[in-house]
Amino acid sequence: MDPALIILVCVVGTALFFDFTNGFHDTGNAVASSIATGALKPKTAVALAALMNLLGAFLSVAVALTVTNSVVRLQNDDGTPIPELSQNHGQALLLIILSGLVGGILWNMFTWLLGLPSSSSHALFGGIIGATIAGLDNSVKWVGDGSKIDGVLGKIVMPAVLSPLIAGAIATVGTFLVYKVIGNRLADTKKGLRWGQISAASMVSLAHGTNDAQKTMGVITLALIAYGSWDHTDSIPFWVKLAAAAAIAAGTYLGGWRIIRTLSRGLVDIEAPQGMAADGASASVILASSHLGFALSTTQVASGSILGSGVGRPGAHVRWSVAGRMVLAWLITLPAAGAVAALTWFIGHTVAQQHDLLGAGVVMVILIAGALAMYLRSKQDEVTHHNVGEIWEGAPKVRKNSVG
Amino acid sequence: MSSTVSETLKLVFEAAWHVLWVGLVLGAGLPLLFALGVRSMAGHTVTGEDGTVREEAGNPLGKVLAAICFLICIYGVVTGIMVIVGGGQGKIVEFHNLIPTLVPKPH
Repeated sequence: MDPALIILVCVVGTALFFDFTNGFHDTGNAVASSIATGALKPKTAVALAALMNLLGAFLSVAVALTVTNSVVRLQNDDGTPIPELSQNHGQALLLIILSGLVGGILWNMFTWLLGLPSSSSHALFGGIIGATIAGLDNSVKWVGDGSKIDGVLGKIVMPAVLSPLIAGAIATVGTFLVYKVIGNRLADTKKGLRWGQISAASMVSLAHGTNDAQKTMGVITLALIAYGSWDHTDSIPFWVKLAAAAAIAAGTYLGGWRIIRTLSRGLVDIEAPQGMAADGASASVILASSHLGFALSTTQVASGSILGSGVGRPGAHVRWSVAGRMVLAWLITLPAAGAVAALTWFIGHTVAQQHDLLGAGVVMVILIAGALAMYLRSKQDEVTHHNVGEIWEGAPKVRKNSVG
Repeated sequence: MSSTVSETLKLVFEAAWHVLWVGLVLGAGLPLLFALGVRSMAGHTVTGEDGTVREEAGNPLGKVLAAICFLICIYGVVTGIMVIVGGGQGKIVEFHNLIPTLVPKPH
């Protein structure tokens, strides 16, 4: 059997696995405050979010194949791989993508283990950037040419700094105003506010499904083009859309309870008016950005909104130490996922010098061993929909005598 | 190099500034309107010295006000859904006489 075909299968499987981690890592963005306020039961909340993600993914009709073009130079303007990476059924490109995905997945799983809401998109782009630095000289687009918002600076670093602040400010103002309007009628209005919150949260999920599943669809299709089994640059195979939609919805339904717990309980204690204001702020920032072409991370927006809803309610207690840990995770997500991806690429590439297939095989072993170790580690202090709402006594403890 | 950095930063800040304003109007404004609607529906309160007195629901004026608030919120939600659907089709939303319409994204 053709080694490139087997590598392609590995890339597709790994991309879908990434999409799955993207789902459970980001469930909390949309559901955390609904769960915290009791607007929805935990299981109902994740089911609704999963459905909205599925719908959102299917709304992706025109998937941009140029998904990586804003940060690296692996693709031509029309989305086809650059000639240097296209020989041998695009094996060089496939290894870069595979290593990048592994970096993204392992970092996503690590932050999930610690209960930290970090950005899945940054993990993916970090991974691809890291693998590109390792595999191809001078091919990272740090800054665009200045004619549009582009490059790592414009598409990732600056939005990462600004979007949580923007979302936080809006949620602060919203929360403050909603409390002013509600006054002393909190008990009577709670039921009504619930519907506002559920609507806003559903929009966050829908937008998430459209934006994030699209990235995976773009990456898989890029791999198919590199291999040579797909040659349309203006459409994607239906099975890719179906698989990516299913993977992100399944991940969302699984619910990243460790992260949901941090967002719903760890940062602030959320009351109904705060929940509605936070979800309203998240939905509006995500949609306004999408409309205005400003790239951002759903996770950072949602976390910023929840923090803002704590700042805006007089007398609310914001756990800044938890917020600090979270911001630290945001800062290191891109370089950390990049470093893992670069290391993975070096190992894979070195082994591949001996034998093509063995290189990809080693990369898959790194992925499976890492993911399995973290999954097993999570079992030691499992967070599920049963204990997700317990009183906050600290972040998930990762004990020193770890077996993972 | 440094001019491309400053150009990029300028574009980013412009876009962020836009997002902040649109976000404030919609993201704080719509929750405010929704809360106003919910509160008006709940009837007007007469607060006694020892807590709230529950009025029978539905002063008609309050219901009308609530309906107006909810309609504006629904308009916002429909526009939001169109932005998402447009995002999936590579289109953006434009407003023609306040009616949101999907148009192809300019390059």
